[in-house]
Amino acid sequence: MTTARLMRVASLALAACVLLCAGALFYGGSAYALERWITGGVALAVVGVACVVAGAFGSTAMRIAAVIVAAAAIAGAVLETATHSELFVAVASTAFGAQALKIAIPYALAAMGGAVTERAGVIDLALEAKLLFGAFTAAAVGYASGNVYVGVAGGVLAGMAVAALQLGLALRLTADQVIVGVALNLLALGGTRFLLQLIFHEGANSPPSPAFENTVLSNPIFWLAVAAAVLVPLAMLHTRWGLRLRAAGDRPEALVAVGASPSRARFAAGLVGGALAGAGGAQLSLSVGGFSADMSSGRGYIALAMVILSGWRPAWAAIACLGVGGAEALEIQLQVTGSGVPRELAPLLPYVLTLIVIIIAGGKGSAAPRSLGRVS
Amino acid sequence: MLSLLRPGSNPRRELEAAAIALLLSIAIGSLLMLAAGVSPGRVWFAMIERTAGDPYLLGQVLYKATGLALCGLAVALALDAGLFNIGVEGQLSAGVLACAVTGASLPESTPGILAIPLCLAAAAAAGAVVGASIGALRAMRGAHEVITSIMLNAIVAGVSLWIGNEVLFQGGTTRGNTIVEGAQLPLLPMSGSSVNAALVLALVVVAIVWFLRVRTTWGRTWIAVGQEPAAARAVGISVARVQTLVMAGSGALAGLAAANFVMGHKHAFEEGLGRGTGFLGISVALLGRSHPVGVLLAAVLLGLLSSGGLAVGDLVPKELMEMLQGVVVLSVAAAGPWVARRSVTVVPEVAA
Repeated sequence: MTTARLMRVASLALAACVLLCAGALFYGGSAYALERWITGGVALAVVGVACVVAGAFGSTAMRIAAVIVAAAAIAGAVLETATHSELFVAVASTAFGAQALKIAIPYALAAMGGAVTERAGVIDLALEAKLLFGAFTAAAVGYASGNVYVGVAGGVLAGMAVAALQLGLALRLTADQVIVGVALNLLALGGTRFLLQLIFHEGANSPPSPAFENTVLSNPIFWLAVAAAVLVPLAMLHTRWGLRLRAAGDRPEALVAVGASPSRARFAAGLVGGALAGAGGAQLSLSVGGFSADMSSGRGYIALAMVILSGWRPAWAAIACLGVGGAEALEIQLQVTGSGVPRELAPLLPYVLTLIVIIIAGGKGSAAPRSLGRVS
Repeated sequence: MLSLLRPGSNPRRELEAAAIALLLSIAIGSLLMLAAGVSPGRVWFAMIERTAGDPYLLGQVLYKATGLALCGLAVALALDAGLFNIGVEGQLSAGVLACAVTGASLPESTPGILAIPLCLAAAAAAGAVVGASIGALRAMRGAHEVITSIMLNAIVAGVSLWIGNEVLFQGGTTRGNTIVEGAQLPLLPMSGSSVNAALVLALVVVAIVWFLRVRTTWGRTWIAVGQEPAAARAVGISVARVQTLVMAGSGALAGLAAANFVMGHKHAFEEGLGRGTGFLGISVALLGRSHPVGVLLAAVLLGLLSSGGLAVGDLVPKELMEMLQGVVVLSVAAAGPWVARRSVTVVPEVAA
């Protein structure tokens, strides 16, 4: 058996395990157990076919399609069991869609930022730090100025500052990009708590800052994300900034040959990436009107997984993040409508989904920028 | 990747890099203390004075260092093979759960000679399973181990809390059944502090890893995979298998750290037991330059910092010590290449 086929079987088995666990959770102890297991089996078959298809046709579009089908299968299995509950009604509403969109905003902005930075050849594991510092700064500046928009600007600048530090260490000092990313994330976790203590004398929460109105369509950062999803890919294709960025990621020697500096192109890309991720952080805190410790809770890593899934294309990455938003909104609905899902396990849905996505999409792929991580 | 942490490089240079990183961290820490409005000299002095003058606190430092040494060693082992295992936190949690459940379900009269190895094996196996799945995903799917690690950390934490709430926790507490007497490790006599026989275990494990790494074909194999995967493949080493096995070993070491927390100290599964040790283990491994002896020293040093931070809690906010973790990692990441570049004769760059 080839490794590729082995992997297809393994991903099938893993999808089966996830579904069996999900099945056990949803149906456990119920009188309808058998009938529901059959539903689970059908969903499983769909996921399996999706995995095989994804493995057989390695194109990004196919992989994204496979993931969407797999997610739909899992969601379908969940929904089927809850048809008689309020959950089905709740999910089929526009309110659910709006909530999913709202949840997806920070993910999508971080993912677009990550895609831009990585396309220039720098591994962007510091997305988490950009989100967290962006969220803290946005809340603190918003609190001090009393204005949400000033808060957003603060968040964007904080994201850029983290990016500048990251790029300075990775490009000027040629420090290991993976380690720098993780270090910045650790620093953000402790640093925001330290600043919280230092500035506000609070352990876990900042004082209330101004917040956006609750509807998605009146949220400026939502429109910022939409604009970025349209403009960033265009800019990457048609501007000097974008051309140099792609050259720095794929063929730095070509940039050197025309007398341009790959490092400078990477800085220009990274700062834009940092600004996007920082705006995502601002959404985290300003949508709830305040910062709380560790409020990014792994979103940066999930966003990076979506970047890889999308084949390093910003707009596709943002679309993949809509799926994450949907999963998280579903999880909230599950808790609200009181399904059989234990409250400790429901929040794990995005993480499990991301793992499945990584298994299907893999990590390398031919779409990866050629000089990714090889900056020296 | 991780090229500057390769083993077998000049030990003097490694020492220099660690020293610079440490000084840099202390300098940044001092600046942070100034920002918090206290005199850095007073804090550092108080930290050392209070810890050194109190055998109980010294014991606590060693207790912390025991867990840190095992977790740091786990990160270092993976670094040797070119993998960055930040999933130690989750592997440790899995180990804690498995160790406590095994210990509590053994018959009451199980002798120590049977109970202790069983609990250790359970802890190591649980950690190894989590670690191996990260390694397998990396080896077979090219999934970045940092992303899968973070996902698995969250999943392990959620699942073990769920198991605790559903099955283990006794009547409204967040504590499971006590493990049998035979599985409990004796405390070392240090004024009632928590330092226990797991310290000896950690020292033995450090010695074993050192031996494997330097004296066996096995060690050379995993180091070869870390240094030159292409060359390793060319001489017939299965890189995928080695990566998976090394991650299993790394997870097992992280799981073993449960011995310190469960068998040596709390004697039961508790919510959040050992939390944070896995992440601090990253700093330990990097500061120890991923060498077993360096890891041991770094574990004591960071153990001192983290429990010393508690000892001076009246002077500086405890968040400062938390932040220093990130600073330490960042300093090592910056100091390594700087030292390397400075000590190498610069050859004119040939156009690629």
